[in-house]
Amino acid sequence: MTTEGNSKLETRSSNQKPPGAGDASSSNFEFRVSSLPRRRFPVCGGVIGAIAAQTLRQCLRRKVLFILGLWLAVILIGLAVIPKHEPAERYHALVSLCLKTTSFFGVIVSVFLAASVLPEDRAKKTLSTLMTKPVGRLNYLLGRVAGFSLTMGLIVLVMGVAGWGVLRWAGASAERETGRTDLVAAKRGLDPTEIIRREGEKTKVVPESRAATVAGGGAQELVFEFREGLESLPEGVQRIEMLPTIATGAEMPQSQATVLIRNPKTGEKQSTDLLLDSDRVAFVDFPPSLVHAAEGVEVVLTCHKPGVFVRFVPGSFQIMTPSAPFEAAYAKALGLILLGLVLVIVVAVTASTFLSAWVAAMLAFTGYFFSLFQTVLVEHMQAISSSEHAGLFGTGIYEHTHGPVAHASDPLYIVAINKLFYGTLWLLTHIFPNFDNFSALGCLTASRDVPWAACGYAAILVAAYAVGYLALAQVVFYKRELMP
Amino acid sequence: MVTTNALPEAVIRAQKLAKTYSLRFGRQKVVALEGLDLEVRRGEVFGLLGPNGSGKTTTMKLLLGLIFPTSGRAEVLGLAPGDVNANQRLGFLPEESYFYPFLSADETLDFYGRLFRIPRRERRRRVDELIAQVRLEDARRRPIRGYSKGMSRRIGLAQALINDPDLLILDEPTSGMDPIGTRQIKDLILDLKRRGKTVLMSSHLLADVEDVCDRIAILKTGKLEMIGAVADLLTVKDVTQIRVPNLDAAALERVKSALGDQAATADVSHPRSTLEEIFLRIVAQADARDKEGPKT
Repeated sequence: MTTEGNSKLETRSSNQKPPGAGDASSSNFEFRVSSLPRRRFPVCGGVIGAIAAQTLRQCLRRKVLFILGLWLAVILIGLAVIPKHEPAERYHALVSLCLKTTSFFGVIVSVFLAASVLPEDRAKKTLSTLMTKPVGRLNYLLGRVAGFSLTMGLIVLVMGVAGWGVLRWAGASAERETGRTDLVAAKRGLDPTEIIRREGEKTKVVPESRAATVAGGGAQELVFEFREGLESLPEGVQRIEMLPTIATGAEMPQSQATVLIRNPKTGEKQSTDLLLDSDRVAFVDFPPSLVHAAEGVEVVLTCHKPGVFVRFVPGSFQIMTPSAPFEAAYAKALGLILLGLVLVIVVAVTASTFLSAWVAAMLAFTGYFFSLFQTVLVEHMQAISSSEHAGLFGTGIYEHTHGPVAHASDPLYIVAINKLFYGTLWLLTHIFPNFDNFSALGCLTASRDVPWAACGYAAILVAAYAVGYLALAQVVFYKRELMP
Repeated sequence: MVTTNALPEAVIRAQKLAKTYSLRFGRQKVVALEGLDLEVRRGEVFGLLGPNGSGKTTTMKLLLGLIFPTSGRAEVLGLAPGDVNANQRLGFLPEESYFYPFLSADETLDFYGRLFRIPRRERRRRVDELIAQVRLEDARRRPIRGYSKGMSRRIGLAQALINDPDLLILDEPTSGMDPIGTRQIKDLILDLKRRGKTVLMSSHLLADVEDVCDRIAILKTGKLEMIGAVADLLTVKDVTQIRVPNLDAAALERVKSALGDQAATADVSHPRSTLEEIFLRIVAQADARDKEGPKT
């Protein structure tokens, strides 16, 4: 305190501070912060963008990218383990491995990240600081979902590029080894319109549901008539695949065979000799000048080795068509996987608004695995609902469809339980989307393009489910207290 | 972000505000706050006092919309607690600093600045200024997980000020601070008051509250026990104190004789300085010496 002399007495009035109170102007430790301009700032990135960027940074700093190392290890093991004797099958197995592992590891990371973030934010009270800023609760959820989606997009991108490199390398090396360039050709089933077995003057039509067998020795021949299914073949079709099974004694299951390609209208024909191996694909070229969709084609097979029986089960024929550009199809497949992961994230975040991290993660995993089997379950449900003697939970359906079972309709209590079971399944199949919609594995392994319509449908499905789930999450989160 | 809307006269208003926590699936109830009536006026520094468990932090959580009242209602800046528009003009320093440990001080402040939609250039300038003010320049790029408690408190203070708030809510602001930090906080509060800001703070360090608060409320087990202006409460109206430079014995005798009969009950002694004053003076002198040292 300062005074000017004895005559001046200082009185502590009610609005003066005692010694030691902050006298900022005279202090060496003064704390002054300037004002911000008094204007409304424009939107710059927005709250959702800020939280999304923060979430991405959070994921990267917590080293989630280590999952890429695990993924790469699995791919390398796959490269070493998948047999090399059939290059095309190996290639398609690698495609399948890349896509399935991308999806699997993606789901693991998505669920654990998304299910834990909100409970962790509450437990560590970071949420209490964050929510005192101008952040709406829905914006928080949207920002988190966007951030995790960005993270998974990054992970899927890295896996995709690395997977593409592996596949290109594996495909190129296999083609180099075999001298073939059709490893990634598209295929589709081509069923003969009619199969006839001929032995001298005797002919017998083989029912289409039965296997067609021809005895070796050259006395018998099988005639496969293709009159349908050729119309939609694209240009450049040259080759069909046959998968024979050869039964013999102790000898090696192989046989020399002659394949005659004949145009039934013009009588023009061309003959090819080839070696058939049991359960190995054999290739027969269709001469383009000989095959016309409107006229059909006959394939006549004769086996020369006595004592062997060559069998073709239904579905043994496949026709090769030019493959779609792999990169485009692969990119779309990865996009579909990412869409599926976004949905997994939304489900996990929603569950975490009212459950603990572990329970939310378990729920999200359960939903994901359940939805993988949706197609089978829906078929099973339809069978239950259409059968009067389905048995408890539909266990009697298999028995009924595979043998003559003569029993009365199910008792009332079984019908009631089945209805409850049906209702539960119905609910679950609607709560969780069918994840088959996010898989383009079938297209990729058949070297077909992934239709844009499938991508669009998957995007709409994700949007619809995300809106529903986030609305539920918002309702729950809005009513939750943010401090534990 | 910052708006020019006129603030309501009562920046914070609570009416019959109550909070009861349910434990063990509702079988046990804990009354944290009971019928609190409170009004914090624009431009004043208001202190919430009370022992541990008295309901200070619960009151703040309710006013911030982090928890919901069991009954009663509250308004902050004329809006419901937790309203995004109210939060736009509010700064909050929690009792413990709860931040993302993997972020540095720079990144933390930048993140919170983005939430207020402060443009990048303005944000950059503001972050630099705040980091300098809380004296974290050397540690600004280190992850917060490696900060001491005092450093965490400083970064907490900086984030509370990132938006130049109209209302600042400080929960135990000097907790974990060294004397210099404590002094800074008090200076800051007084500076904010000079600029017309409103501050609501809780503390159980009575000296801190006494130094900076205009009005205080004392809570005990969730009930409001007393509310009033600090100056009124502290003024002892039946005692007169006169402070003058040191008197020699003759002058002292003259004063005593002037007091007459009251000289027997007069307390004549030297005024005491506070430890805070001494500490700050010594540190300031050491700083000055260090600065002069290299020159000589």
